[in-house]
Amino acid sequence: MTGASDGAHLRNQQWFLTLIPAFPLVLLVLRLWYLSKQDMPTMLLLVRYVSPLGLLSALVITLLWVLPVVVLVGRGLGALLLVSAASREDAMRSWLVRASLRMPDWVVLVVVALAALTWQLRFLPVLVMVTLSIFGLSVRDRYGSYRWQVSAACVALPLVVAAGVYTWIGPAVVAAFRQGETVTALLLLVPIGLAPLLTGPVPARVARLVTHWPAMVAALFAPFLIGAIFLRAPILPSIALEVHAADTGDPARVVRGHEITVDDRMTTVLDSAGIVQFVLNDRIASKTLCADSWVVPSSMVDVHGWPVEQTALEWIAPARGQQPADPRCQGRPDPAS
Amino acid sequence: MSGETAPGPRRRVLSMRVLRFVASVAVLVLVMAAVVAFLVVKGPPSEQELLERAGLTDKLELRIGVKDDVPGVALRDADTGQFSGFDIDIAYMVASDLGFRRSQVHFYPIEPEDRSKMQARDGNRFVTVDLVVSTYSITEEREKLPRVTFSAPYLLTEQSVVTIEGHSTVQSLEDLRGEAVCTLGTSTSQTAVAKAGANVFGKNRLSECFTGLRSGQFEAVTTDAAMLAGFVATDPLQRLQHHDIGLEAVEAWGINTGGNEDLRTLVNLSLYRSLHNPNDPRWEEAFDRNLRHEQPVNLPQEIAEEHQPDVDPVRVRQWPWDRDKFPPAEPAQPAPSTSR
Repeated sequence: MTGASDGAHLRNQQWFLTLIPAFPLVLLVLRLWYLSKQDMPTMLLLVRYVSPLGLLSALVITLLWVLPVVVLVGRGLGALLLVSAASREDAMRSWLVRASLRMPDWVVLVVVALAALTWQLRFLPVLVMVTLSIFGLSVRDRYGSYRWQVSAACVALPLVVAAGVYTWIGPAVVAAFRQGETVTALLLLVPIGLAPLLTGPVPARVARLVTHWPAMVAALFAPFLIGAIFLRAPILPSIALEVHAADTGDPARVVRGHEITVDDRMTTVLDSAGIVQFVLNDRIASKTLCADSWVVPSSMVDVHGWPVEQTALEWIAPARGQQPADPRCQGRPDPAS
Repeated sequence: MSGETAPGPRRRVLSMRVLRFVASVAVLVLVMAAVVAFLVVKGPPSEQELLERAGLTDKLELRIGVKDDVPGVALRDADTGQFSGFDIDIAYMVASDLGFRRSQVHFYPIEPEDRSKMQARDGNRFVTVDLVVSTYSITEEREKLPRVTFSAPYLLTEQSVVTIEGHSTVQSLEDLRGEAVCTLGTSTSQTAVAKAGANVFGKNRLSECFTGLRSGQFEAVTTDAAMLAGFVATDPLQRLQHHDIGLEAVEAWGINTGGNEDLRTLVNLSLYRSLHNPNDPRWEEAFDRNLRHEQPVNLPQEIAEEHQPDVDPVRVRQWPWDRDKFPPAEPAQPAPSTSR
């Protein structure tokens, strides 16, 4: 590599590093714009009242799983390209390999632990596969001349782990096929089975095809994917207000929506149609929190009682049980309140 | 970056590398398919989504069309205006599962011919009801009507005949040939008894048939046994006789949701949970309270099957703790015809 091309690379990286902090900011603004149904006054009101800390918390909680995806995919594909390329110099031409080599092992270990806690159960076989692949490829790269060590890391270990995982998730795979959830079944079944094959080099001619280019495509589409996921994440609490009629004082209507702010005179609510409603606190008969329906899991499959759409964190942490349906969340005054 | 030189091992290494390439491609394809599938395919709707799509959110009251003159099934108290009976209890059960409290449920008397139009009488005007729970038998002909969408059945009964004591035993509809027989207009019983050669009189209210029977205007009344049973059990003079006419056809009562498919799914979900939740005795209590005690005085006719009819599984997104309470639905099988 010449000095001039090194300089060009550095300048490219500086642009990239400048854009990285801007991305969450763009996401947060887009989220508010989406919530305001593209209405500028509503968006400005949201910007004024929505807590930046709350927004950032929502962003972190919703996208915590993305960091392991980026690190592990980069490290895994980079390691595969490194051991598959015709020469080390040839491999080093790819930014993927260079980025992969810069990741310390302890970072990968921490990220694997983070992924184990924040990835849904149905993606954990993929995590096991990627971890085994990174471990096997690293051993092959560093200790390639030690045949026994390579065989143990690249063949024996993946086979033993696969046997253990299959024993654990076998009934869930059968259940997934029975429920017609083919993608979930394949996600549970295939990655572990292929893990022993992903610990060694692929033909040098096609190495970039399955490493460099998929990483490029993923890097291109990841912002859109992340944006699509974050745009659906709740950032304001869903509530229902039972509001007295002005004249009679009887509960007359229910306002459902997202609570923007409460001050000493009124409660500001963004209703489901995207219209801001200002309700006098004196007229509020009762108030309740409502569940967001989009987070209800869609898969019926579980592994020994652990639903495949739950992360380890969600599974371990205490969860709220079934609550009786509150008519106010369906827009009806509650006669019992 | 192996250093093998012999042709055999080199070929083996190459084929291994090709295999690894195929595996890598398979993983990439699977991951891409999973991402697309989980982003695009949302799976079945949640209950909340169904409620919104069915138009039930922000609805202040649930309007239900029922009969108002059939003891044990749906009867309005002339003094209090309160409705009671098996249909009423089932309506309350479904309404409760739809999120409506009893005070938010309003019953409207509905004539037999209006059940397919979802139009019920409210004083001097007609209103469109959300549900019809009114002894409405599921038939193929009715399912073809534009505003008829039947739920799963909630009661199985059969056609029978009631006469004044002293009438010769009626063992088939043919035994009524030439006699004046009253039944409900547009009921499934009307066609069968007409084919048997009886002089059929169709009425909008079953109580009118029994008034005519007691006055001698009619010699028999025929319709579903569960409806006739209440009149026999509450007859002040206890001189009504229920006859088993030996028909094989089963009358399966369903709830009409008036073309609202999402509402039908929710009603079916309510019936499915009532059937499969061992801690939910509402159907059984409704049967015991309204129909079981009528059986002894209606012998030899069985007035209705004492178990809730089967309901096909309903697929909805639900929380794991809900799944513990209700068995997860198997994939939808081809539904057996509910027309009897």
